[in-house]
Amino acid sequence: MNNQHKGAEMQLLGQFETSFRTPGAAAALRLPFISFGLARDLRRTDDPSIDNSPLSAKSGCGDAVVPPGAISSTADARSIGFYLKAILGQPLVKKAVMTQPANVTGVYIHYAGSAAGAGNGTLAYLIAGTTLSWTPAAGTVGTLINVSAGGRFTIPGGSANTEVVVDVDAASLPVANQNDATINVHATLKAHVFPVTLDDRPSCLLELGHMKTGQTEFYRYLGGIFSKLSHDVTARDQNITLTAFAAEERSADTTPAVTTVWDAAPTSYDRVRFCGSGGKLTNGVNTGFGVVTEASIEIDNQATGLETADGAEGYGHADNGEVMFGGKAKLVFRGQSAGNLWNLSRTSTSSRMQVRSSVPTSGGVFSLTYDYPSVEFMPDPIEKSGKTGLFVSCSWKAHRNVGGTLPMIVLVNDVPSY
Amino acid sequence: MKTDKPNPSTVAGLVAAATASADNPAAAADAAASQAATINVAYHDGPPAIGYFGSRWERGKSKSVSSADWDAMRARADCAPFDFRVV
Repeated sequence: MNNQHKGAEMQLLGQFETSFRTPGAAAALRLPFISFGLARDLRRTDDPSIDNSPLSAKSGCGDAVVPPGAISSTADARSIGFYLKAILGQPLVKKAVMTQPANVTGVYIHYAGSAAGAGNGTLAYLIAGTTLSWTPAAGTVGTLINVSAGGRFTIPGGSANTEVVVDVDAASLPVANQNDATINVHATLKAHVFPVTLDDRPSCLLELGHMKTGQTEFYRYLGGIFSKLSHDVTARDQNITLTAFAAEERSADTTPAVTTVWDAAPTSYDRVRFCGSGGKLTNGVNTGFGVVTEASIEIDNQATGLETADGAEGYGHADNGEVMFGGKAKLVFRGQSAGNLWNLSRTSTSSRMQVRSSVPTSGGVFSLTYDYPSVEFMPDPIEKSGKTGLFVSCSWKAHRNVGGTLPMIVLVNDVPSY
Repeated sequence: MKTDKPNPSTVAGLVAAATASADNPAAAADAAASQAATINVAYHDGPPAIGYFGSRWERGKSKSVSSADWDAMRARADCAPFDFRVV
């Protein structure tokens, strides 16, 4: 009888902990994955002692750790929120705005407040005073906000928590009064708004289960911390790659032993994979960046595990560094027209940048949008070979600006919360 | 070697707990009565379908569960966001 475990019989569970290494009661989420690279490194120590033998002594115990390893997954529009929470922190749950202004140019709406009415609201622009106003569906208009300076604004509705949060490109605002009366706030889809802070990230339990009937085996990681998420938003096969480490691994051979599944009835969602065709990289306003053919993003919170004097094996503390947002972009080489990515990179000119993945579903378009107020671009050498069309590429990095406006990261889907 | 105990908030935990109570006829009878009483519940927020507490659910469509399972479902930290309600 062949008792070999099969890869197809593995399952990955994830659950956020109430405190580091403490998962609380079972309420796990089944996570899709392609490969899982976390494993315990025993780090046994050499014994250099001498005792009248040609052989060395048996190794002693060290301090086993679960060092950073790679996990890859399909870019699932539902479960990606788990990973974003792990890397960035607890998101706020707001209402998804499904329609962007057409007449009120230069304005992008990130989300609506949690009490905004479902249906079509009205965004109005008045040239006198350079103001925006917002009237949510079945609601009343709120205070007019002067947006002449451009940047991020909260445009209130007439009652609490009915606002819309927008980014304004002042140079693209209309030259006369305008309004859009069909700004649709979705009835059920959520906008999960992720924070960009230096706060401690939530730790999680991860459990890799080998579920072969009659010989189940589990590798449970406590104190799991995610440090990186990368994503090629234009690839046909939409995948994400993550880096994570954990405080400790428990299994059948450890004390305490793990011989049963953490959660025999985990919560699960049908997979909704982002489409390669839904990938987009723009300046958030128009097509001025040029014809972008490839775009990737990496988030790195630079978390590292530290061994601590706590009498327990593995990492006792996770140290967060700066949050880094970066990536690559490639575009058709058409020279340096003002504002295109090549020009921006060659002239060290920063720009707003928006990276978006999306997928249509029967319940509405799910999307993940990163809106960076200030990004710098670093040009790569132009590849000068061959006779066909030339391309140029650059790497990019989000940086702070004098206004202190932080990136806006919004995941729109039907998951109620993470 | 210490082993993790069955988790009472899972279906497997409930089965394990029921087995453990077999030496106590009165408690076992109570548990059986509790299991026998069923109520209809449905979730109202979230994806059109979810896997939850060991079975597949469709949003807004009720299923019959035992009182004990309903208690265990509500004990999960991820229950409230789905807006599970007795219907």
